[in-house]
Amino acid sequence: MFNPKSRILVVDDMMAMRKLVGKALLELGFTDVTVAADGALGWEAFAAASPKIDLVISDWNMPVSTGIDLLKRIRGDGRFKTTPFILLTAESEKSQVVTALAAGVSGYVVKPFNVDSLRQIIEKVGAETSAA
Amino acid sequence: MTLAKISTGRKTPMQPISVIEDGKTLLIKLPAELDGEFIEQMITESKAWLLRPVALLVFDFKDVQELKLAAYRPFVILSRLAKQGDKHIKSIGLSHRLELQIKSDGVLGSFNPFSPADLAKERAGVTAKPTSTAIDVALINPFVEATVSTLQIQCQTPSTPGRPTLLKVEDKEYNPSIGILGIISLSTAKFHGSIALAFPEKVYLKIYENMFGEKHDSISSDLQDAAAEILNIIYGTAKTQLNQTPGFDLQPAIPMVLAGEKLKIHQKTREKIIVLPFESAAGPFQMEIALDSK
Repeated sequence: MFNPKSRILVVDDMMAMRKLVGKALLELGFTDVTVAADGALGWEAFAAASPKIDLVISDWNMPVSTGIDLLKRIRGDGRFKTTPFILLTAESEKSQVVTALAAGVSGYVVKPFNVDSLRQIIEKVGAETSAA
Repeated sequence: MTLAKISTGRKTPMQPISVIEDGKTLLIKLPAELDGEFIEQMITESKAWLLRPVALLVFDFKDVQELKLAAYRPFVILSRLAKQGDKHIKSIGLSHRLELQIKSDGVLGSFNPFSPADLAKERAGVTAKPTSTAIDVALINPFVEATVSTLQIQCQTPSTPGRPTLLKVEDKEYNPSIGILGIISLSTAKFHGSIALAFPEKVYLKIYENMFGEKHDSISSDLQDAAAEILNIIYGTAKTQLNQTPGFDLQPAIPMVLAGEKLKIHQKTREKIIVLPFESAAGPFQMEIALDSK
């Protein structure tokens, strides 16, 4: 389960969305939020973080390196196989959900989202991570 | 035609959910009050409805006067499950007020309002030949619904769609006031074109304020990518719905944003432009969809 001190990495190429997610996380009580503008920068921030990142919330479609690229890179590193990873995206077609699940996503929030839908998925992913 | 009543579900003293199957359709007549007990009962009973060998589930709202937000839940759930099982949900008898309500709350797609005449045609197996007009309608509705829900949920700005207008390129002499414009290219096997979302400056600044709680006097470069994100969400939401329909295969696309004075939309189309006006709590804005058949 996450707590207000949990370290969260938000990855989105749109500054507006990074602001919106950051604002929503603040409303939910999370204060330690790092942001990155694509999957490659997200990996740099993730790998360099100390203490380690507790939760990644990432967009799917981004230039340079996508959210799925980032997820695969994180899952490909033995140290981070269980790091909670939530995709926040406007893509919700069945084939895409299957792709995300196959890559090891922990949760999925479809845009448009609000604070409540983000809270629900964070709580669900947190509970599942604790139970694992 | 023999009608077989398969369930009268509801316990006394509540009015029962009447479910009638006629071979092609399951007609579910809703009681006047859709309260918490009804919602739970509907969620439970709807599992059995989805197992019936029918392609169409029709909800009759004739007696329903009020639709609280909590009552959306079973319809949204059922609509998703129905799609997975290749079944369709339609609603008849919705009052104009309730139809406007579900439109503005962004859940129109879960109810699919239908006129009794259209329902009779569908039950009789009358299907329209696909025409460019059918493509227009099939294309427009998901974009309208996606726009309303995105503005409502992501921007805290309720909006309602106005009447769409079809313009020929040579007729396009109107000059709407535009402060910021987002554009995405559309391309499928059947058509290509583009979709543009245009806001007057004051309207966009108010929407931005609703989203972030920040007041600004002009659209600086820092404010522009919110317009791209709004269009991105609208496109992604509509694309998900459209790609469930054969013939549409919209691909992910990246929006482009322009801001400044004296902006005009020049859609590269040989055929037609659909203008969708919206009225919102922040003021009017519009979407334009330009289409060329391949």
